[in-house]
Amino acid sequence: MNLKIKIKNLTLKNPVMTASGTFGYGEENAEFFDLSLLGAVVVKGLSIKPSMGNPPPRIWETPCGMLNSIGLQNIGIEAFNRDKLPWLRQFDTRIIANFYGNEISEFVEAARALEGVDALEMNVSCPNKQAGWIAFGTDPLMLSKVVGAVRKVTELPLIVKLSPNVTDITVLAKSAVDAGADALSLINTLTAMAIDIETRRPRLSNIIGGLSGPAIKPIAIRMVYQVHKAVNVPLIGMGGIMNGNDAVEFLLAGAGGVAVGTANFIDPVASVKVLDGIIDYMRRKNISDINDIIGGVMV
Amino acid sequence: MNRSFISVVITNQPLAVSGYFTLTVSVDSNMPIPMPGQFCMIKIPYSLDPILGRPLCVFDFEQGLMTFLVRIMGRGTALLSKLTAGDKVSILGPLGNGFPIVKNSQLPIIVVGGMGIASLYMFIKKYGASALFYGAKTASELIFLDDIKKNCDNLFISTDDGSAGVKGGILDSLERYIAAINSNRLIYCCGPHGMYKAMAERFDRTGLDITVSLEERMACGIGGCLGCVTKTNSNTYSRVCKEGPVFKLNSISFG
Repeated sequence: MNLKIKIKNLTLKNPVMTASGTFGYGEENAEFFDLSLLGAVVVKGLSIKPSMGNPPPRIWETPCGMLNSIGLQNIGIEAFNRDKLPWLRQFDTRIIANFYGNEISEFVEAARALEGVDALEMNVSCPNKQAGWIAFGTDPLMLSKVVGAVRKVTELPLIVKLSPNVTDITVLAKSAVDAGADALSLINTLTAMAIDIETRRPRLSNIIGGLSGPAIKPIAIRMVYQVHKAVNVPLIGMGGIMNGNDAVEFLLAGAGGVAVGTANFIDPVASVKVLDGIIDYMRRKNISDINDIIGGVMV
Repeated sequence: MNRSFISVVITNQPLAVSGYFTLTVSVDSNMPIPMPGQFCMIKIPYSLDPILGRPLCVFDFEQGLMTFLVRIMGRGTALLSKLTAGDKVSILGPLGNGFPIVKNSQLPIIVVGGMGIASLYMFIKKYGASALFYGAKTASELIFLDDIKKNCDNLFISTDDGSAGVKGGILDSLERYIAAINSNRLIYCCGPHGMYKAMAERFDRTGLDITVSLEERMACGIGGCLGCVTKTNSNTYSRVCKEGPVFKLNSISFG
């Protein structure tokens, strides 16, 4: 059975990754399973300088999902390279660094500082300080500029994680690919909000957060399907994957790989169970190559 | 080390006081023995709504059984209250650090506010306390008081309405007691957040060594989501699930 997938020149032993921000730097989940089982570990979003994150409350449970406004708390790239990356390297898996900035120059500096990983994943859902704090990933021109700037300074496979908070995600997908993205991750969380009706206060200190979990899966499937028809690079599908069947649905919609996010919070071993579920499906359907499923939805 | 198990509900016992129940479940033989103050994430298996487990202190643990003392706070705990014998629950744990075990000669003063008993009952039962201060809103919310009496003869009770023990807050009694003794400076405490804030203000310069257990909403319980953080005095955020739930009171920022 062939489970290998490729992102540019990088081969992953299987299509299952962890969604950034749901797996820390791998240490917590490594207490529960061997990270070498995964196709890749995508670490918590990194920035040049450490970030403290938002004040609590940071999470709120919603039907079949959750809101979060962690605020990109992270230890910074220098500490990651020194304290976390060497430890991650003991595992036979690919290490993908998710990173962000609030200016183009910060993205460029971050990408340069992360040369020790196997691939880069750009979080473009963060706001641009020099453009009225509008998210980079919601404007095709802005997205093109930031992706193009990072492309110039790195030879690593470059994945752009798209924001779903746009009218037509295919426009942004094309913009990222034209600017040099080797692959696209989709989707990031949907901006969302909840209110305590007793106190009239928002449930999150940041007021607005990001919705994740099975509640957003049909939206993510739709976007993967649309983007798969619009561009010709590998897609990493994510959004509410709880088991192998969910993952297969993403593959059929056009994803070449999948990332497990919120499910890691419910079961630390969820990502491995997703992989097992994909294998079970392939056995049951007598499919020997994962690539035979990708984009296989019949319409 | 595996800490993820499916357990079977043995009993689900409503308490005399409304809205409280004890949930007793079977324990997998591979589960590490929980320390007092550690917790588990409890979830109805495969449920997507609610999707997250609920962090619950291990109330008691013996003879292959584990008990949680639960108060119905919302939909998740309400669903747990409806479980019956034979139902399955997923258990992730034990998690967090727990209260440090000390030598018998250095037993802490234990201070419990209401539901805080959920976190300290096992410690009191196993090791006792040099003195126990137990406060609640009203007499009926002094849960498991009779059991605790057996393990601690130096007991101080208070209730907000005066229906049992001294009328008023537990910290007044504690303050009087502290003033009268010189030896024991170690305090273990579990109660509402407001009580910790009051303790931090009242006992700031007394040289007491106060250890408290915090409560926060959690998604994962293992340190991955960064959802349950509390601010520390070094102006950083610590994860209640991983660095805690037990912290030194003077390490927490109430600002």
